[in-house]
Amino acid sequence: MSEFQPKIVAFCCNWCSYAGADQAGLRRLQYPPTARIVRIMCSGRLDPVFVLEAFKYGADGVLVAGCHIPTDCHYTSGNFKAERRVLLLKKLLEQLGLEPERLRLEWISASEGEKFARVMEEMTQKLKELGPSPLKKSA
Amino acid sequence: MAKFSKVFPSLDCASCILTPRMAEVESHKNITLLTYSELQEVSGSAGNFKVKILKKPRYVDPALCTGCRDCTTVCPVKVPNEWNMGMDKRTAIYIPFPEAVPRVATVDEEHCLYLKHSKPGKPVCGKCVEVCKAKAINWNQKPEVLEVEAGAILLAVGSEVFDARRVPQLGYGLYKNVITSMEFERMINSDGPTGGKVVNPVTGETPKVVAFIQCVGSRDEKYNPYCCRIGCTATLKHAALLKEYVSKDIDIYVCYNDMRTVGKGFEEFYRRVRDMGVKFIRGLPSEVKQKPDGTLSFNVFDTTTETLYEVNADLVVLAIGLVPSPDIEKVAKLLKLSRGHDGFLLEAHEKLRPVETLTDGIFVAGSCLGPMDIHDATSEAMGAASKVMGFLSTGEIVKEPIVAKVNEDLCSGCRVCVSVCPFDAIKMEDKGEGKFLAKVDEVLCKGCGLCASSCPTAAITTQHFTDEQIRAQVRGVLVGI
Repeated sequence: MSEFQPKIVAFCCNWCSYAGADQAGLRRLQYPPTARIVRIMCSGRLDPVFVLEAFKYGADGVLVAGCHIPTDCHYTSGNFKAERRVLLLKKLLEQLGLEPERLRLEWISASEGEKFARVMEEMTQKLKELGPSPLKKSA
Repeated sequence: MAKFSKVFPSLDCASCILTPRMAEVESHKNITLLTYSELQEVSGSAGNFKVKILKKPRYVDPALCTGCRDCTTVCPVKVPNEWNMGMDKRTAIYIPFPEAVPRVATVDEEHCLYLKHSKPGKPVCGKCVEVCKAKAINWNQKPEVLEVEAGAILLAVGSEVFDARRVPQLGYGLYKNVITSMEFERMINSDGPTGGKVVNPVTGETPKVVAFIQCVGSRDEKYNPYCCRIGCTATLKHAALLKEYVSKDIDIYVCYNDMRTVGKGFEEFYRRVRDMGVKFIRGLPSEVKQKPDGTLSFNVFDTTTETLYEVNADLVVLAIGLVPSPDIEKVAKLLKLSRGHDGFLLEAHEKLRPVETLTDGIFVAGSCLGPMDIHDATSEAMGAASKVMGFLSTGEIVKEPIVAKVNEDLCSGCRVCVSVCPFDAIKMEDKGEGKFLAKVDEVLCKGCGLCASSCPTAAITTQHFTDEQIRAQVRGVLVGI
């Protein structure tokens, strides 16, 4: 049986983290092919439903990435909103029987391609330890 | 710049460059100059801003005041003079400096005896009124709020100098003969507190040995990690002025981190100053101590010669860097602008849109964006001015189609979107019968989608990033792969 490859949905804000992911590519950095990037204009655009839906459709982990706090947000304060939502979502996930570590929030700037690759690497490693999402088994 | 006597690298006279420009601005028929005023409120959007400006009372009628300064000779109040970095005193009615525009006296409310202590029928002091031949003093002036309609806004609010007291080990604030570069500027200015004489503040004599310490508060993780960009060349200027205008025999030491003379003619200037006999030590002292005789002493390790030197100086000058002005937070909030890690304002794009902000119609220039020298600030100012002209003359603005849209059938009028919008782009529209629905101003909206993710009834969404589109993407990247 081949090794478990987790599926990670990465919600990246248009201005910092999406550009950061692009930078990782431009610099030919190697990271596991587990990331599935979905671009949103701002991390504050993240409707908690998107995260739940990702888990529902078989994601093993979700990354929310935005501009560095406190001041880097292109829209002044969207990253703070994202931070609060992710904190609450982690609690909700726990109640749903999912490990809160499956959801991760990171601030990745447009110049931090290396950080994007590192976060993907770390997340993949962590999810391999945790195993497939429990929601998948019951589905 | 008005505080400087000379500017680097040419050692041109600063006020000769600046004063005519200030007078030009004051007298230009298309420019209304509002000094002693504060921005209070900004509403509206590009091409159609409404700006409220608080005009503070100066208790002097600018139309009558001739700027003769008779009042300043009789005013009994003496307070530290901010213009001279507190090195001398000014009166409560004052003109900050001779070339000030407009050349009109201002009464400092906080310190004026008449304004502070007078009771009805019992005036206190009022000496300035007696002496004023133009009868310009008017105690009845009140704060005034002006409402201005503007097509565009250009911010050039500048920066502040670093407070050297935050680095106590260098002795500023402890020893009188440790001064900052800004105090040095005022000292060597013929209009300054010492009339252009550089003196040791302890003895009042011309110093024999002067040591400059670079990067105070700059390039240091403990204070500001960034380079102040002006400190090196400013110190070269100070050293050159000392050698050329004070005395060739003054012994000058410059302790530096790296000599960053970036700019046209700056490196040549560095070479010139080296040829003047100024001694450069590549290293920064960790502590400045005062000897019993009042002279200052420090040890510094020169990394180019690998030698530990002991420097004894009568005067130590700390090259302080630039920091965002304390009001920048307020300004950024009023105009809804982003700030960087360092606290300075953020431009729309550092390379491609250096004098624009992310809000259409609001432009920026100068050191409110980050430390810069006069050359860079004037280049940016001119760039920003032409950007404004271009912006206003087209009559149209180009917008990304990514903006929020309200489905009126679903909107319950709860106003959550109004509270989360960082750009004040959503207003409640009166639909009659007590019904209010959200309405998006498409010019102000930047399409971030905070409203869409907060709307409890999913009535508001961002075009091209609708809930359905994002959710379809999530399904698309997961199902079947």
